[in-house]
Amino acid sequence: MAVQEARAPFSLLALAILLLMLFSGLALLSAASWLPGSTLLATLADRLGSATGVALRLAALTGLAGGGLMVARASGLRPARLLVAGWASYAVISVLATTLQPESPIRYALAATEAALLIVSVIAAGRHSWRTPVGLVWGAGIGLAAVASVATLLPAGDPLSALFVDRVAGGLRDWLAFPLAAQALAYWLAGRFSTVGADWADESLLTTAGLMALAGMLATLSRLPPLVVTSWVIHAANGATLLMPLLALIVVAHAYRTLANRSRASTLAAHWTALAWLLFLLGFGVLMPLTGMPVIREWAAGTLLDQSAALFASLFPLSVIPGMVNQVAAELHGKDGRITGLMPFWLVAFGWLIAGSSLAVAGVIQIYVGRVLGVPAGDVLVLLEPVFVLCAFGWLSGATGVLVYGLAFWYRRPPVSQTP
Amino acid sequence: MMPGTRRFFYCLFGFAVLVVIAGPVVAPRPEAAPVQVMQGWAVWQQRQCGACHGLLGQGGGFASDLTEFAVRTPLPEFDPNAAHSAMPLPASGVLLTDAESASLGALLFWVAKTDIAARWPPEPVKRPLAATRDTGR
Repeated sequence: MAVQEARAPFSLLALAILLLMLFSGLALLSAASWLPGSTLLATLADRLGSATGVALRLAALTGLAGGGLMVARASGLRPARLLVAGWASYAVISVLATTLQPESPIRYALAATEAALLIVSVIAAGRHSWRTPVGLVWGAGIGLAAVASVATLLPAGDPLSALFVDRVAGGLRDWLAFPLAAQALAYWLAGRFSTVGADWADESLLTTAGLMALAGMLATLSRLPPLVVTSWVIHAANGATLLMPLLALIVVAHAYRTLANRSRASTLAAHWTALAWLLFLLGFGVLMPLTGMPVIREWAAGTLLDQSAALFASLFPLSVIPGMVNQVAAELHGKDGRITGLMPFWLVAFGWLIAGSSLAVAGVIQIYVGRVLGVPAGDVLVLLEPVFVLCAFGWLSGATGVLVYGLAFWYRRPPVSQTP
Repeated sequence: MMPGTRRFFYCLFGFAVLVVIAGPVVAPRPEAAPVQVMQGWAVWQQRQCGACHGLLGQGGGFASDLTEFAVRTPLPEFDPNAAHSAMPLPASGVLLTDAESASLGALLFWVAKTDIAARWPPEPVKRPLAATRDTGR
């Protein structure tokens, strides 16, 4: 890969690592705000929660866009550089805007800017890249993310419609668009760390991407009740319980073949991709169908069990990005080797799994103690304190891992900035 | 690569996107909410009530779901500042003004009257634990 060619997309990937560090720090602070005795943080709990969500979305968007442009070999010419400048400005303003009121006009401007940047990214990747399966699936995912950004601008005449539009737009983005773009990048990486044939990999990507789109659709529909009780939505939500584990298992079985047939590549791209597929299986194959079951759904809606399912699904695209950065940095160095080591990987893997699992446990306690037995929510929160400590520990491990990853990456970054 | 694989992806992707986007189009829409309810909705968003509280099964996860709040609490007695007196009120500890409280009350009253609130959330089981032990069940 020519170094100069990679300059603009690599800058986006580096920005994604910065945003990943920001997300990890905010997630830790947000979890700490629910610990007993954290009076100062508790007053900021709402703002921290909102900022964490924004940082997660920005890190995923930036990393997936940068990764796709890198795969497409988008050139280091002026449009790509302008795109990087636009992304960086947009990311900074978005983070700052979390302190503003949600109805502030700047939020609408930011959503429109996000959509425009995503569309420009797809165009910058070039028409020739869309002909390859990786480019096609990535372009479909990023294009859909742009549609979701525009959908958030739709006006709503009542709170019910506003909640509904928010849920549909979020589903389109988090459970359809991001997973598709991430799957495309994961298969590009698989071409490096696996010995599976190129033809099989192409077919496998298109097949699994189609199934993931179906799983994303079912995930979105299964989250609409009790907001919507139209019969076809209810039937689809019920069907999701049976179909989603099956779809997730097929996707992961395909993924397993790439991991079982490893090449001699020494980068940690395979490790990060394996973590991503594990998170996908937990989110889309286990927790989402579980919380979507008709008998569980009415008790689980709006609990932390619901949130843990969404969290695992959101962490799937996020964990592909460090793998992408590892692989690309090694290729730009011109040698096959680790860039960031195993320690950050294990810290992040255990941290994210512990944080997500403890949220799920907290959700189960909420359902049984709060919803089934009718104990007041304030008393349930007191019962949950030990689980919140575990959750904060998980985010601490994750944040430490991401910090070590960021520092190691900075120390061993490829010399793209020295090119003319 | 088999020629059908690309079509397989196009079909599933197109179907998934169409179904999700069709949701808002075919969903039954309630009549436009009164101005004070929408003001209450703006307060709900600005003060980030949804960061802790759920509404109609959406968001929250930490504090109680407020879908049926207005059923249990008469509107004149609704005072969010007093309800949060035992714990720090979010939004950086800034108390709600009387106008904001009134708008929020109107929102919760409107939500409690919707069809969804009649079906959700489910009633707690409330079986006394002592009685369960006595009967050995």
